[in-house]
Amino acid sequence: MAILPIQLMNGLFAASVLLLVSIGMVVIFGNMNVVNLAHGEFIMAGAYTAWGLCELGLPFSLSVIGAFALTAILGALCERLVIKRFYARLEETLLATYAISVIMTQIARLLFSSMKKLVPLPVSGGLSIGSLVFPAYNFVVIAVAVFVVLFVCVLFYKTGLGKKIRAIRQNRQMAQCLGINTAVTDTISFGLGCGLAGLAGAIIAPLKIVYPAMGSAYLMDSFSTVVVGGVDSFVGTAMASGLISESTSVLGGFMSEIYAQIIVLIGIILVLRFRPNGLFSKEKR
Amino acid sequence: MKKLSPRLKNIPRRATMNALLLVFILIYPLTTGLYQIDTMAKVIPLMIFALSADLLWGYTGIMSLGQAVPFGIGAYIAAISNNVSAGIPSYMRTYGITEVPAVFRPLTNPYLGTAFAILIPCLLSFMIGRLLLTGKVRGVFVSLITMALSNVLMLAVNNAQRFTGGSNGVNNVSRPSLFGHILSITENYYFVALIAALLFAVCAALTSTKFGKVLGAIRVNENRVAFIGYNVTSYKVFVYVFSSALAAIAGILYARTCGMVSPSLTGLRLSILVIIWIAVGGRGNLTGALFGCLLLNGMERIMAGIIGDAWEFVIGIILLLIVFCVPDGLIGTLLTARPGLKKKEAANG
Repeated sequence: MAILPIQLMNGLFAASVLLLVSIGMVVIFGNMNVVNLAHGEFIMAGAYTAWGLCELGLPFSLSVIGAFALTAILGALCERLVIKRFYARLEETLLATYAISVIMTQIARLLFSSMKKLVPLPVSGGLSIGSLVFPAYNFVVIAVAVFVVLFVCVLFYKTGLGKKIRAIRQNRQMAQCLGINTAVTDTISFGLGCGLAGLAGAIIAPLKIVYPAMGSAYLMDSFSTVVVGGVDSFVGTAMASGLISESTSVLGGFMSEIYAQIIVLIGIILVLRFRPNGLFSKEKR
Repeated sequence: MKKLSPRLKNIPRRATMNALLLVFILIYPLTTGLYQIDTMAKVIPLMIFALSADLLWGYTGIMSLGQAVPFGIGAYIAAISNNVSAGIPSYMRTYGITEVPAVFRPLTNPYLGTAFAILIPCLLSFMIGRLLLTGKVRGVFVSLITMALSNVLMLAVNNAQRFTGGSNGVNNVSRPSLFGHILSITENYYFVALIAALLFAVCAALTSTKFGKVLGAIRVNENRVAFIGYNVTSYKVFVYVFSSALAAIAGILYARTCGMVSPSLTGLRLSILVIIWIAVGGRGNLTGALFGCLLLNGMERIMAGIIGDAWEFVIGIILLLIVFCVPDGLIGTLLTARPGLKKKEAANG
C-alpha cells in the first residue's frame, strides 16, 4: 500500500499549484466580482517573464519577483483602460476580458513565436521522506503557496489597503462617501490579482512548458477552485484546492487521470448547484 | 401613441434586412465556384447555431458558455451514425473493434441516428436545465457551470478514442442524402439554407408571440415575472431545451457538410465564439445573430488566407471595439437608430 502516500503527497503538491494559480482569482472574482477570462493569460505572461529574466541571467527568485511586478503593472493597465468601465456588468466584462485574453495570446505568439520554451529547474535533486523520494522543487512550490496565502491574508486583514478593498466589496457607495478613493483601490486590487497570477505562472514555469496558449488550461481549474472554496475566502480556496487535487490525485491512482478529472468536475458542478456560496463559507443571512 | 410609433417603424426595417440576407444566401451560389459554395454551406449551420444562442442569451438573458455542448453532441452522434451505418469506421478498427459497439447499434439506422442526435442533447439539456435554472444559481454561476460542462465534454470526447476517434475526430462523413440520393455540393447548400430559413421562421414566430415577451421580461426582471405568476423555471428550461435542439440540428448539418468532426466542436472556444457573433450583430433580434455570424465567419475565411494566425488578434480588437463603441451590436444599433432622436434627447436633457 505504498501507492496511497505517494498519491497523497502528489496531491499536496498539485494542491499548491492549484492554490497558486487560483489565489489571484479570489482577489479579482471574489472581491471585485469581475469574471476575468484573461486570468490564464496573466499566468502565461508571468511564465514568459520568468523565462525571459532567467535567460538574461537573473537568479530564479528574482525572476519570480520580476514576473509578479510586471504582470501586476500589466493588470493595473488593463483595469485602467478596459475593465474599469464594465464593473457590475457581467456580460460586457466577459466579452472584454475574453478579448484581452485573445490579444495577449496573440502578442505572445508574435513576440516569442509558438516555440515552446523551457525554464530550468532552480532546485534539482530530491528529498526523501521515509522510503519515498520527491523532487526538491515540489517542496519549494508548497512553501511558496503557503507563503502567498499568508501574505495575502495579512494584506487583506491587517493592513489599511486590505481594509479599503474589503470595505469597497461590502458597500461601494458608502466606502466612497467615507473618502476611500475607490478608483485607485480597484486598480491596485486588480493589479494585485493579476500579479499573483503572474507569480503563479513564474513558479510553475519550470514544471511545465511555456507556450502562448498555456494559460487557457488554468482558467477552468482556477474558477472551479475559487467557486468551491467560496468566492471571497482565501482559506476556503486553500481548502478547496486541497480537496480537488487530493481527490483527483487519489482517484487518478485507481483509474485513468482524465476520468478522475471528469468525476471531480462533475462533483464541482453539483457543489455549485447545491452550495452556490462554496463548501467552506458560512451561511449568510 | 408616440412611444409606439418608432417600434412599429422598426418592423419593416428588420424585415428588409432579413429579406436582404435571404436574397444574398439564395443568389450567392450563382456567383461563385463550388469551393466557395461549400465554404458557405459550412457557415449556414453556424448561423442556426447563432440563432439558438440568441434565443438563450439575447432573449432570455441566460448566458451559457456551454452552447457548444448540444452542438458538439449532435455533430458527433450524426457523424458516428453516418460512419457506422456503412460498416466499422476505420478509427474503430485501429483499436481492434470488429463489430459495431452495442451503444452505437441503434445509430446504424440513419433516421434513428438523426433522431438520437437531436433527442440526446435535448434530454441532457433538460436535466442540466432542471438542475441549474431554478433561480437558486446566480447568473455568473450558470455561465461558469456551463463553461465547466464544455470542458468536461471536450475532455471526455478527447479521451474516448475508441468511440470518438480522440483528437483526430471522426472523418469520412458523407453529405446528407434524401431518398437514397447523396446531395451534391450545390444541392446540399440549398438543403441547409432551406432548413435554416425554416428554423429562422420558427424562432421568429416563437419570439413574436406572448411567449417571446415573457422571455424578454425574464431577462429584464426575473423576480417580477415570477411575482406576476409565471413559472419562470419552466419557461427557462423550455428555452434551454429548445435552443439545445436548434444547436443539435446545427451540429448535425455542420458535421454532414464538413465531412468530419473534431473535439474542438465541443469546447469552450466555440461556445464563446457564438457569443461574440451575437455581440457583434446585436442581441435579442435574431437578425443580428445571423448577420454577426455571417460577417465574422466570412471575414475569418477571407482574412485567414492573408494574415493567418493574426486573425485571432483582429477578433480581439473587433470585440473590444464593439463592447466599447457599439454595445448594442451593429444590427441592434441600426434597428434602434432613429434620425433626430439624439437631438431631441439632447434638447430634453
